[in-house]
Amino acid sequence: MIYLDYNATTPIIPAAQKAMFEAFACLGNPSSVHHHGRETRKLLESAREKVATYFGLPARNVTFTSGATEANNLILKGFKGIVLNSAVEHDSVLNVRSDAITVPVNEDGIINLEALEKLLKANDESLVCVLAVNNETGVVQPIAEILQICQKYNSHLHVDAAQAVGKITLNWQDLPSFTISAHKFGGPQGIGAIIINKPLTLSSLIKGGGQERGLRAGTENIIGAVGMGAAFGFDFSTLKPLQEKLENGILNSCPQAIIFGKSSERVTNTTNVFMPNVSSEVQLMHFDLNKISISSGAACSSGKVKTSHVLRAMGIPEETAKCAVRISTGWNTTESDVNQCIAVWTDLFNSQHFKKGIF
Amino acid sequence: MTQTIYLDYQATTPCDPRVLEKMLPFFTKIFGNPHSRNHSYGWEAEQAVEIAREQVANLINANPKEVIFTSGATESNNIAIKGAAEFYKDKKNHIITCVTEHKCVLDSCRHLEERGFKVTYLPVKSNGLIDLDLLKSSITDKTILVSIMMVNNEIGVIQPITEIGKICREHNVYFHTDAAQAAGKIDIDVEAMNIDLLSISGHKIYGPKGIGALYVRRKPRIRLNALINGGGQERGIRSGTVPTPLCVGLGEACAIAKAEMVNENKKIKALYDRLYNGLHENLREIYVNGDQTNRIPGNLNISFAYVEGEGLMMGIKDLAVSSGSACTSASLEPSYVLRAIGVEEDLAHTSLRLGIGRFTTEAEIDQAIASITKAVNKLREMSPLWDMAQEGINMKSIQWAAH
Repeated sequence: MIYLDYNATTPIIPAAQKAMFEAFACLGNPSSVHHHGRETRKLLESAREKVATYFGLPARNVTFTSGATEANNLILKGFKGIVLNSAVEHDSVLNVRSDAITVPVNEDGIINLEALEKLLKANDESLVCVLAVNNETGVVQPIAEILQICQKYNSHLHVDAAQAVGKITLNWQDLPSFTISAHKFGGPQGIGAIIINKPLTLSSLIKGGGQERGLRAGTENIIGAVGMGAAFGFDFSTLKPLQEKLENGILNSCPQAIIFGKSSERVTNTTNVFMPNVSSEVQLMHFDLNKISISSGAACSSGKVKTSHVLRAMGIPEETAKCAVRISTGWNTTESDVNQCIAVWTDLFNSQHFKKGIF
Repeated sequence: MTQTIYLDYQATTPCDPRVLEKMLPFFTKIFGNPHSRNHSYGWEAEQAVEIAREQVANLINANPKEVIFTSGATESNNIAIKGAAEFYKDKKNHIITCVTEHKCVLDSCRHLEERGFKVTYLPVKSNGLIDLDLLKSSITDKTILVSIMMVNNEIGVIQPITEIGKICREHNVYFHTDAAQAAGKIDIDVEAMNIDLLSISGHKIYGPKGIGALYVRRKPRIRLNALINGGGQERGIRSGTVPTPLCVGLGEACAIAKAEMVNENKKIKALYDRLYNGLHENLREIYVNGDQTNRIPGNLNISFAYVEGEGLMMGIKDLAVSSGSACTSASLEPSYVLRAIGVEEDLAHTSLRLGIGRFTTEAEIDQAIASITKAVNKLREMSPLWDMAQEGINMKSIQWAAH
């Protein structure tokens, strides 16, 4: 099987596996004062340091959560004022505050900066939540410009960086806060973090024993934290040649194919591509039968029938959005995988168009 | 002395090697997102999650559809209490709980009070059990939920869950129980016990940290507001990618517990008796906290008169035990649970919680007896209060001078 669905989840990188397996020997609740507890506490804090060091930030800014969904919920629900979201956010942002104001995006999937400014002018001291890298299209938001506008109106920018780690370089220290998810960059499922550089008044979501400086109660997931700390380091930009190969290969086979977000700044591992006249369901089935795993839309909505809200927000007509699939590469992807992918894509396109007598 | 002897099984348990073995493939080759519907990586992961769900359900006689995976019992308790309260708040606004609950239950209740709900914190008797008549009389037509933990983490007492469930059912009130310390240790049957919501913790049952479950009854249905929204996973009650390896671990831990509980309890009871008898033979004026009968065998919470708890802990460095629960052990306040059962402050400060578990051996128990005996005797030797007590002086009659 060839796995090309890295945006859904990534296999754990060997360094992280190793660190986790070693950590399984550690017994103890990090809140216990005895030897076992203290050793486990050391492990947890060391993992926190690793996370912080990657971003060039102090460890105390890092709060562990069970994942990015929880981290996003924590800040959005914990903030008492007005919230602004972009139209292309992940469900873990869009479905949290029903009273949130939506900031539109243009047809390239980039947030409309004028609209943002206008909305913030009318609603200053708000919380603005924007994803740095779109999980469906790979499009990168102009975070620096968004930050500038937010600062102008005394608003806190929270960046959902779940799909950004290892893929783009942000000035992490300048971001007031951001979310990360381990299983999107080679770490285990079940762990993430919210990193808060600019303190804001936030009520906690999960209450109880006072862990994580009172921001997130519950016995800490040590193995998860260790795995996350050891998972940084893969540079997705090394995948650029593969992305070029893939996209050129597809466009050669079918010049009418459309790669969504191509004209924007995009990460190097994501290709969201339209195959004329062939539904995503048929494509996904064909790919699966040919032992390649890809997806359409976000993983969490892969059971749902409605078309991608991201593509719709970019103004892509429903009929077109229905024929889009997402191919995403990662640390274990090879050139041969990409060649196979092009071949399977082409094979399907040709056979479908032959069947439909289109030529 | 080689390695520290671990006697703090209520704080956390080691991952059973069999659980670890079951999880490993999911940290390596079977890495798919269980919500990826379109390919075999996803299907394999999903299948493993569903098997685990069934294993959890089997432990408590629930339908797998009623089991939601969470990040742990703290989160499950938050969802159950705040979620039920917020859903039913238009018609009702009262919650009943108990003063000896875990902090995550108490804090969730306090949060609700800040939001305008009314909360009754039932006292407990000196044996740690709640008074059923008091519970009955506390229920009003505005009561949404009763939340009483099945087994107390500090003193190990088992509440009369079946009776509580019956009372709640009769009065049309939902019943939540925090079973973090109960699952795998006592028989749980959500049907027979009339339970509507139940929390489970992975790392208390020889599974991994970072995973738990919440049982949510479907017939008759209880509704909850989600704490974490997003992609709609876990029937919309708990969004977020379900972590396959951790679920597999929790499932396996539950399956092992179900299969081995009876024998394990026998073994642990024998160790408990050995420990208690050993201490009792060597030391006078030691008192077990909490009901002796309605108690899990793995928890021996014991006070040593005229000995200071922190000092005692320093004297038994070869043992990993706790005084007060893990969550609050950084603070110097005496345990609120001990206070609630009427243990005087001085005596409360002398308490240790000794936790026995699956991997405890007789040799470890014997060393613990020796260590504790030695340390207690030493501290008592140095204690003027102990001397006075031996001479028959009544401590309570003394007017201590402040300076």
